Amino acid sequence: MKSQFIFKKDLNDFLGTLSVDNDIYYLADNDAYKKYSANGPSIDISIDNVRANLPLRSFFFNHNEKLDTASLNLEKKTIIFGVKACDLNALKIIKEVYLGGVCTDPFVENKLANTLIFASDCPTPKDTCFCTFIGGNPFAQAYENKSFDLNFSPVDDGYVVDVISVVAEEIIAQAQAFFRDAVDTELSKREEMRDSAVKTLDRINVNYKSIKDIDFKGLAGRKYLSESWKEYCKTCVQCTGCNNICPSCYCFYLTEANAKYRYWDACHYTTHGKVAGGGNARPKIHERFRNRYQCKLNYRKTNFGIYACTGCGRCISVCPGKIDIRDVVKKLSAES
Amino acid sequence: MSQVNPYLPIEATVEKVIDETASIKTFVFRPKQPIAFQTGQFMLVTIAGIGESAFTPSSSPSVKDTMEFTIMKVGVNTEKIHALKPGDTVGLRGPYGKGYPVEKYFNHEVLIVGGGVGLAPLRSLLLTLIEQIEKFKKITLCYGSKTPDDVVYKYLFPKWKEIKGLEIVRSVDKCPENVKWDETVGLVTCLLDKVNADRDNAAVIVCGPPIMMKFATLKIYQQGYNPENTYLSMERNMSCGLGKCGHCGVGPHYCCKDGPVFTYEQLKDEPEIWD
Ligand SMILES: Cc1cc2nc3c(=O)[nH]c(=O)nc-3n(C[C@H](O)[C@H](O)[C@H](O)COP(=O)(O)OP(=O)(O)OC[C@H]3O[C@@H](n4cnc5c(N)ncnc54)[C@H](O)[C@@H]3O)c2cc1C
Ligand code: SF4
Ligand code: SF4
Ligand code: FES
Repeated sequence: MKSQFIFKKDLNDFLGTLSVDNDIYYLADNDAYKKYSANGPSIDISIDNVRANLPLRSFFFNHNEKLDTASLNLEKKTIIFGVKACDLNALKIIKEVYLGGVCTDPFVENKLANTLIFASDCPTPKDTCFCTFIGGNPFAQAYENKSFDLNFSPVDDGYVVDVISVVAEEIIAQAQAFFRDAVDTELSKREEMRDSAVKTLDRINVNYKSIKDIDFKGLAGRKYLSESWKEYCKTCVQCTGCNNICPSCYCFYLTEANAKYRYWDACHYTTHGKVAGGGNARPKIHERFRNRYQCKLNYRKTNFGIYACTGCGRCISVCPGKIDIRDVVKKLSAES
Repeated sequence: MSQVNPYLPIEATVEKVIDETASIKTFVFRPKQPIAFQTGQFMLVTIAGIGESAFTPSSSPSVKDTMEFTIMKVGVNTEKIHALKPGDTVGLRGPYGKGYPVEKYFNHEVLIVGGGVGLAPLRSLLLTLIEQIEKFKKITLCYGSKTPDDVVYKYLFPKWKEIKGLEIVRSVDKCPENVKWDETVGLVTCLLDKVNADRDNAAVIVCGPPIMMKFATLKIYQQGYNPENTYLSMERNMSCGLGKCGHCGVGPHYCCKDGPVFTYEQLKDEPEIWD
């Protein structure tokens, strides 16, 4: 289907029609996903900020989730509106882990199957963003077409809308009143907006020019035994914030109560690698700190051919120790 | 979508409990449906309301209706398991991971190096090899324990020692004065000097506590055995057993799905795998 165009003023009504059959969450001004209510006052929906603080994966596997197949498939469909390209890239890792391998996780599979993703561009990346430095872009692209259904790019007083999936085509067909074909000037304005976002990212990250799109996997592997990890993690207080906020982190542990429950886990916890008898695969802080970098830049790239860091910058914003993954990588790469 | 829940176990009844040592017992479980497995693969044993732990069956896969596990008491779950009596129930899920590629050992010598409760998975392998012993040039078992009291399967060794084509050498780290032990005193690694194996072609299989694994593997490597024919059972913290929960990493590999049996070739270039 041709790219479409919708006016901003029509977004609210468009979501209103969809909310009959779907639970809708949209990216709100405060960088949170807010639940849309058709009964409330008409709202000014702007999905142009950078990624939500909450990582997208929270929609697909929860902390403290009961693993009971009887609860599958009863949910209403969910629409997430305003998902950014960095989170879509991270979703690839989540899918590799949960849908691939020795078996499919039915709980994640079910939620993915019941969720529609409406992506949106990032016209104004912020100071922690660096997606273009690690193979990404500030907009979702159609080659990732298995990851999202629609994409919204702000142009003039509306959005150019790419229609990716079959379900999305049906939605647009039914909501035709709100859409028309996008015209060439709108499409070229979108390209300008995207170029400008890419340039903004270059400006934001001017200090990290030396690590733009380098071989992060090779670097992480070569520097595994570097003594400097100890220095880089000096201000790390093991809060696990960087793990919990990351869109590609997938660790969990199972507990036994009256049923099986799944909790999010984090590799910064001492218990993550602990075995009976006092053994631990990563007893020291710098070993756990290094493990996160190896996981994001080395191990998952080895497994899946893609980095598990997508440059969303959340771990930079969240860290009480002011540790910036870009600085660590830059320092590592400057080591002899 | 009506899907199977991969995290749910099958119920099994405790049929028999055998005391091995002060801290190790062997349990015979009868699952509601037989669970087929390959020697070296592991299971997750669930104690309802308490937790799950990984154990490798110590019985041969050719025994279909029951499964044996030899378990050392070390913490919360294993303490509960040790309290089990015949008739009690547990949950079993699995089998998980990659076991020993027994066919690859055909027509070769097999050298098995075990320490402590590490003999549990090795017993499953040994029983599997014994069932078809004519297919191997020679089987050698080097087994080390802390003291003579800590030897597991004491009642099986006399039988095993009579099997043609199977050589057994044993060591204890130390032997108290009033205890009889007429075999080697020393670390299990010193047994490696005593065995006479075809270092180019022998399959070497190592399982035991991490410290023993480390020194035994390094010695085997120094002695010139082929890392591609050296099989290590790696132990890591585990939760899901399915390569999803992220706990059991060994470099880029997951122990539960890519292991628990790895060749040394797969791991030897990964830094710090032992620590
Ligand atoms: C593939 C594999 C095969 C094993 N086979 C045997 C065997 O045949 N016999 C035997 O006695 N032991 C075996 N172990 C070790 C056994 O899993 C642990 O001793 C057991 O999990 C300890 O549980 P706990 O609750 O008593 O200890 P705690 O210290 O109270 O452990 C709490 C939790 O941590 C995890 N954990 C702790 N230690 C280990 C560990 N060493 N490995 C994996 N997870 C751990 C478990 O999820 C456990 O529930 C094996 C481990 C692995 C990974
Ligand atoms: S957010 Fe910072 S302080 Fe917290 S665990 Fe991560 S690196 Fe350490
Ligand atoms: S490692 Fe940090 S920047 Fe990279 S994807 Fe995770 S939270 Fe985002
Ligand atoms: S035990 Fe969960 S990934 Fe291996």
